[in-house]
Amino acid sequence: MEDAPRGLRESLKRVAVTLKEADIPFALGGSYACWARGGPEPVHDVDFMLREEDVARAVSVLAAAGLRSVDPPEDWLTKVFDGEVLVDLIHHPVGRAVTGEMLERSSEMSVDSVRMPVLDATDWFEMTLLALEERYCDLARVLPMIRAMREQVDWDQVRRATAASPFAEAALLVATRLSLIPPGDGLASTPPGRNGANRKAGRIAATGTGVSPHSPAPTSPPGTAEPAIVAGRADTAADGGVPGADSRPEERVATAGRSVAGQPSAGAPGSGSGSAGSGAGASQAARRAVDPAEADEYLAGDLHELLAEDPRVAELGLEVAVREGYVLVEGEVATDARRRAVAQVIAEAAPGHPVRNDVTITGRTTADGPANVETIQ
Amino acid sequence: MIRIAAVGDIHLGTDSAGTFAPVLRDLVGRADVLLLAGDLTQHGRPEEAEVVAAEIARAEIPVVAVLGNHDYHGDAEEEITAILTAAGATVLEGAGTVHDIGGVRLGVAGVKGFGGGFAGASGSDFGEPLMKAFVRHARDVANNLLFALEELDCDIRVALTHYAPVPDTLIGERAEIYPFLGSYHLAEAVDAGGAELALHGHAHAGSERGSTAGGVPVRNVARPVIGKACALYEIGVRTAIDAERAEVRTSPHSADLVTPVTP
Repeated sequence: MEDAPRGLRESLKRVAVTLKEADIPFALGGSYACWARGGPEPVHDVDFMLREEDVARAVSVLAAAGLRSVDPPEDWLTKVFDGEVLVDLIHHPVGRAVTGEMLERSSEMSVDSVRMPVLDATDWFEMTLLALEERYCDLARVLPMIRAMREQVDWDQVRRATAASPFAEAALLVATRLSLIPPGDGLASTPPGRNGANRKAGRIAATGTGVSPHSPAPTSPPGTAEPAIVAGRADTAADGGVPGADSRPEERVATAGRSVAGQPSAGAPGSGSGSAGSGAGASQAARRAVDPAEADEYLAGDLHELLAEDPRVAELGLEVAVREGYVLVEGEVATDARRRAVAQVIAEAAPGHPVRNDVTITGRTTADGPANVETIQ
Repeated sequence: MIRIAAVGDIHLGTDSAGTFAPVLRDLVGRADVLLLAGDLTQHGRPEEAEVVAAEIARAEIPVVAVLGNHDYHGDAEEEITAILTAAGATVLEGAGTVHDIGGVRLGVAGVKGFGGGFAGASGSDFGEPLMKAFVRHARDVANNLLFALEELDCDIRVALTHYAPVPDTLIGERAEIYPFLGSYHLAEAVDAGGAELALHGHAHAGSERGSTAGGVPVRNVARPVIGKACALYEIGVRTAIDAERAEVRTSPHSADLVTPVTP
């Protein structure tokens, strides 16, 4: 395992130093760029990104440095060999030209002790996700890379740049649902005025990728109250449109109207214990009722906290997601009563939002026959 | 052989009567001691502690517990401790207890523990008073665990906490919440205090097995993690009970084995 990568790294450094000395603009790309940014170490080849007009000169300086050039049939890259190691010089990854702007966006990083430009993490993911196709769409390879680089990437930009690819969309959906990356802000739920593209307009203009800075267009004209959108969704839910809605209609709260923001619904019914401490907790929780008009991600966060704090549930491990107005809650509680309380607490705190309660019951604490015994040391 | 049964995060509520006593009955003859790794109640209310007390009152093996964050939620941790103690449990917070198991002294030192994070990604005693209080509390309880381990006069030491001493047993939880799930200062205490085993709960989505930097096995016994009523661990030390069993059970076999080997 150690040998192959070391040979690859030596070749990588030799090529980088040669290109640097010849003043040819380039960036480390491919899986080694991911490695430089914290991802798994590749075992196959080394990729460099260059502008097409620089490739001929790059090949000649590399040949002068003792590498052997090969002219492959592909029209988007050329190849050189350093001994047995294959180095790709790529000028048209996924059909898009490497531009000077792209190379300028790369960051100077120390790669195995040699400083060199490494492709920008956002550009890197645009290319990687656009390279996914019908015969090559193994997310098991992509997810570790997302985990490794996720905080270095402008995911909204990646979403916009890869919007045409269903494979990229699938990868981003999985990563979002795994909470690896933030949910996109350019989706249908984006309220007018929260157009995330504006922030990136300069960047997109600079890259010249042809993506309109306003591509995630507001979904409702100004003046169409957002509550109308939500009420429409609630109606859909009442029609049975909630995915996976089961035979527990009392847990699907599909009220057509919305309460005034910040106005809690009727005081939380007591948990029946009648204890002073519990009652105080419940009313405090009700007072904390969340603002149902706020952004999905904040609503999810507030409901998550509420489920921990409300004495009827008091469960810290539940996961709450809000997507387009639907509240999804997952996790485990000990009893069916607590599972029902989860739906109740959310219904009170966020009236007007359909709830999908995927909470499961841990099972009885009762003995369950002979257990495996582990011997320590 | 010392046989330890352990579980955390049983979260009994006033609706849970009758659910845990069968676990204890089932342990008779299979475990020498039951360790409870905190979150025995759901909301930290005394009436919930009464349910726990009733479930463990008829235990035939020693029950040793620490409290968890849920048990502190109702600001009634002292009352809960008293209720559980009256039912025969030993509730540890910066203290230890020793049980003689067939001539081998098993010592258990326990603290609830606290969050704070793990080496390289932990809170510092710096900044706002609340932040400093948070970090100092984490360090204080870890020190209490170390003192409790050092105080034990015993043959085998086990550290019992609610919060996790290592991140290994948190795998499955979101990395972003690790600092709320445990503190590496607890692992420092486990290593420095010479524990043979560290048990904790709290992280329901975590993993069962890990170890400290010093090589001490760490087990997350949170009920959802172990997926059964309780986990069973054996520590391979020969007790008087083993010796008796060996005489009763294995003598004939030993004779059989010895004979053919004789030249």
